[in-house]
Amino acid sequence: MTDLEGFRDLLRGPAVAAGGSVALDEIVRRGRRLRTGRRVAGGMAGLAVLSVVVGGGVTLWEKTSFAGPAPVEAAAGTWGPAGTWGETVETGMAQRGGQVVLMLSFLKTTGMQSVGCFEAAERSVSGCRSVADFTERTFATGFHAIHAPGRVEGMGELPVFGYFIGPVRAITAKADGRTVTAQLSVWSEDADVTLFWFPLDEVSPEAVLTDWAAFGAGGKPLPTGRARLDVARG
Amino acid sequence: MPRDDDEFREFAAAGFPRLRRAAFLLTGHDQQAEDAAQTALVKTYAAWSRIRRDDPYAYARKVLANHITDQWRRPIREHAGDEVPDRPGGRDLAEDVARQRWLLGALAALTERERLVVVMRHYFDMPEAEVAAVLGIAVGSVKSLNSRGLRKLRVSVRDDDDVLMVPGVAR
Repeated sequence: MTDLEGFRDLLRGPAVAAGGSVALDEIVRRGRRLRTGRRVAGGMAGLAVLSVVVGGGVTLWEKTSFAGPAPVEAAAGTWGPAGTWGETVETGMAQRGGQVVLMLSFLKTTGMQSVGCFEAAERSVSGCRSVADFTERTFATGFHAIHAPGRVEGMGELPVFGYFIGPVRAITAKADGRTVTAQLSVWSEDADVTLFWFPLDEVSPEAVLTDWAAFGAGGKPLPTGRARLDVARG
Repeated sequence: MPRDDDEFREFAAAGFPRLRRAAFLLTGHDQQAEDAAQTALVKTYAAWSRIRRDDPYAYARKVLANHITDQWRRPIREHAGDEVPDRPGGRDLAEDVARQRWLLGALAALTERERLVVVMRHYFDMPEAEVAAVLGIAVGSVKSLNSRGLRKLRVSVRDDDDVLMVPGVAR
């Protein structure tokens, strides 16, 4: 027999399980991802479904409870940024239709998607194009939802853009044999999510990007994930 | 880095060793304990803005307990028995290791609920009411499980140890 205090000492006793150290960066990264996933799931739980005509067919548009402009009727292939979540990123690239802005949004059917639009002086947004990622891997480390360069009629050119999950500090690719560097903007809602784009004055809409790479702190290479990187002009 | 992150990192660095130790007492496996403690902190981080002003350590303990309970519900596991190994006697250089080995063997002889209650009560020093809330059982059940667990572990309890002795339990 032992007394209760002796037993409690035994429980507290020498660290038999010692050896590991707390992986704070990994814990924070997984925690952010979990938090974001919960927010998305929570937002999706209260979705109101609206119909928007896209490209002659009917697509179910999921208007989420996230803050953002209401969905608008749109021409074929373009639509308004309903369901966008977080702050809009200003790229500084001026086009006929306004400044190119980027954002993230969610569709119930396709999950997280990156959205590029033209924002006019009065902050009205139009001429949007988006690329969706699949829900089941929408939060995996690496590149996601990469939009090919393309012209939006009457608005101008949209650059290559997308989002990256992970502690990225730099994104590069090769365009016509040159190494080009993307502009980055950490998403307002989750520091583990970064929106990126290649400025049009560095990467022409006709260029084909190859050899994509992502780097973390200290230049450490990061996994690129499973997104399609062979983007061609749309 | 956001200030919330700094606070969490400080909390996690301070709380991780105890969470891991508790998980080790509950699972008896280093790697499972490491994973369980990390999982508890991941979920605590995800809820940080909501719980940081309350008692984040209590939240982490609850998540840890639930996580390990979930692991126990999986098909492959060891079954508890009534036979507790004999205590090692004498002192030598390996005594600490031997005592810990005995402890793990003894804890493994408890039922899952007895083990949870004993570790929560006597390692985390959680009040019976809090243990009851975490496990979703009555306070009386916590007292009974605790007494049975300590009896199997051959832990003697004094009157002022605040442990309810169930009928038939020798002291």
